[in-house]
Amino acid sequence: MRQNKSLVVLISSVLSLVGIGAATPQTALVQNPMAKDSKTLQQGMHMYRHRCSVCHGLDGLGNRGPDLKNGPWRHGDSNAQLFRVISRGIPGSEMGPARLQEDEIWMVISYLQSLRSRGTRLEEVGDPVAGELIYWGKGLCEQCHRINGRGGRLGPDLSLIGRSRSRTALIQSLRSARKSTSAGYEPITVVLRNGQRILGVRKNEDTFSIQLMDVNEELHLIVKSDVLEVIEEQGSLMPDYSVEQLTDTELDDLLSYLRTMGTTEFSESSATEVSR
Amino acid sequence: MNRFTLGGLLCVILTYGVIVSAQEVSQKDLLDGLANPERWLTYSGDYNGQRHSPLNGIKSDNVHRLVPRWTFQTGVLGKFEATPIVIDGLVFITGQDNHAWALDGRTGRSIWHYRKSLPDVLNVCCGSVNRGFAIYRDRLYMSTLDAGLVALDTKTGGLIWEIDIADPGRGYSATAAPLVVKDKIVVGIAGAEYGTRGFLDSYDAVTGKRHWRFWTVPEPSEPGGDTWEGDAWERGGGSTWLTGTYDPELNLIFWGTGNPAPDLLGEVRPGDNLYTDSVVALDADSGELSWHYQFTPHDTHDWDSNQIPVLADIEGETGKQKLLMLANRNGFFYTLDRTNGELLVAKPFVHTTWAKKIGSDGRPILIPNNTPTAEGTFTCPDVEGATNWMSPSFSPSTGWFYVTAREACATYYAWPQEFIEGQYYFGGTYRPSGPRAYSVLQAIDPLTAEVKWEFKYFSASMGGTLSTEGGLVFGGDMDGNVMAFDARTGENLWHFQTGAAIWAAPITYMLDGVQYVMIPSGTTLFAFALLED
Repeated sequence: MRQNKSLVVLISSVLSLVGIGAATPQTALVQNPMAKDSKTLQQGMHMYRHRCSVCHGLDGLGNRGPDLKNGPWRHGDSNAQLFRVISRGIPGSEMGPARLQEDEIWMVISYLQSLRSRGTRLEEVGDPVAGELIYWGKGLCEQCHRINGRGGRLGPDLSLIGRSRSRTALIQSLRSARKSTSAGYEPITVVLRNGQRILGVRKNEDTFSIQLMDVNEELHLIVKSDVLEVIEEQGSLMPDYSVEQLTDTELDDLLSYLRTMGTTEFSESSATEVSR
Repeated sequence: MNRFTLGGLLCVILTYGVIVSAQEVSQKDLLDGLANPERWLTYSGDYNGQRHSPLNGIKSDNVHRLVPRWTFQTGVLGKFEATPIVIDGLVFITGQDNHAWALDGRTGRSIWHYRKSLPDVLNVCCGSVNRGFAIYRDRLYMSTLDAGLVALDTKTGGLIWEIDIADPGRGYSATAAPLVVKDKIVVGIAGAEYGTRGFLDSYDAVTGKRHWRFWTVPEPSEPGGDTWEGDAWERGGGSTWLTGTYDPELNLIFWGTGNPAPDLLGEVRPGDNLYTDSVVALDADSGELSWHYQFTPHDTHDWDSNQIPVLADIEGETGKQKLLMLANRNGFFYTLDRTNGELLVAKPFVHTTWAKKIGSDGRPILIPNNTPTAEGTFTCPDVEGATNWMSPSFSPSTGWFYVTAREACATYYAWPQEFIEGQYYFGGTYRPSGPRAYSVLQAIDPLTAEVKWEFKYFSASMGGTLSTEGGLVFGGDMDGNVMAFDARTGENLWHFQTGAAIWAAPITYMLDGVQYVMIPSGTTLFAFALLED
């Protein structure tokens, strides 16, 4: 690997000069300095599995993060854009900067490009207009979830969820909702020493204090000396959506609607802004 | 400058400031350790690694008045894992990315700043950390992330000499605080995640010339070489990335060794894989192996045994016993006879699923189906382990060992991986699994390995401990709390929210009649003292 160091340094300098991720002729020329051979792909796979697969799946099919094999790469597919996304993360999303060295990032990029070349583009299914009606109507989603500033606040904001989660993960989080919780939304019941019981979601907790939002969206800031017991509820406060409550077609419609949401498209211009 | 002017200048200095005496640190000072409570001269305070201070000004009935006296902001992001050196009002502390500072112990103001630049490409597995200086005579010694060792002038931070310990291009790095033993600088190495071959080195304090090297993975013709097959030993791991301890009476250095490589894929390295996941006892003068004890033969869970080997002489049924205590990342607490490495007692201190117990022959009695696979295998503890680099402490007053323990499990995966020099060589990956992880501060009786009390932290934590003759144990957690506990009961007596995760262990020292407690958190070094009336 040491023979590649000077090249990596050169690439690094080029990237810093042009502002990586920007849609400029210069960045379009950025080349992956790693050799296109099986060793690079194998090492890239190991780095991917170690650092990326928690969210994107061991096979790249997505989980909490998008499907990288078959799904669209919404934040760009050029070398420069991929390098930027991996090294710096995606602002406003759950994806932070990967703890990888430059040469390791390039190996991961090589692997991802290889993975994608073996993938099948997913067909868009569902009717987003019908899905919107379900979201704001019979699905009762808006009682707990916001989209673009509207809706409840007890559950996670869903404005970008359709783009950041794989289809498989979204289906699972609807059909088996009670099994899935995320940080900041774990359901708990706090029993105070005065007998009061507060059901809500945990926004934060440490050894001496707890902060939660109750089911009426009221925030409670509590010191543990006032607490008799913190009960970690089994499963999410969100009910499972069975096929009786939401048919497969309706589910497709709802997911299609969620995929159309989001106002912070990671455009070339926004990438430039972030790099400053 | 005439005599009058000089006299006036001295008068001003004597009237308005404090002249820091230019005392050099001698071998006797290091042997005395914390007997001089104004100093903290080694990573663990004393050669015995007890991290126990004789200071008793802060105690159970006044610890609630502990408040920050000053803070120092490093401005360097990352895990702040260092232990400061304190001498004569000066604080010497290292930070991430090869940074280091000298501070005024009364105010926290910086006196000098040192940084060794890093190569453009440097592969380190677990953060660009450094855990502290060693000090000897008028020099400070610091291992550097690019697998180097530097000697600095204590007054200026000026570089006196620097050497390469190993080639960082092969995956070597260095993060541990060195240990000074008899004019020599003993320093360990990291890099098992890149398929390096571990060692422990001793260098001349004056010249930087290497005195001896102990390879933690022997060659095939050497004792222990038959615990490897083929050429696996050449990339066998066994790093030495925490600071060991020293018994001057036995003239033995005790040092923990890390995991074999690749971490999770055992099939490419059949055998016990000595001396990985062991504690080795080395002659301080020659570096020759006196004895070893391997905690996890043929490890496939990345359970480095680099934890501090704590030494104590305790009166037992057969008279005074020279003990070595180690709470291991694999979930078991061990007490050994440090004269010969014989196991005296071993018991799990957290939930473990990989071994029923430690047999009378000193080997774990394994529970089947804990080897990582491509499909994943659930095992407790997790990769970060039941404990890790966070220092424990031992109080001679209570006779108990204090450790931050982690209750955590993981699903371990393994798959074939070709070795490429300088590249990550882990052989799999892992996922947090099972119930939500958390930590407990524990008091353990080393004679029975029984847990005497424990206090639960909300999050799985990496902060170490400090015990004092004030009857206290100090600790820190991942949520940013620095805490004090009654050493006998485990009752929490004080806490302070620092705002960032604690990755280091506290120390304490006296200065101008004030007892300070110091601990890094986030990018900040905190110095606490009692609120004055």
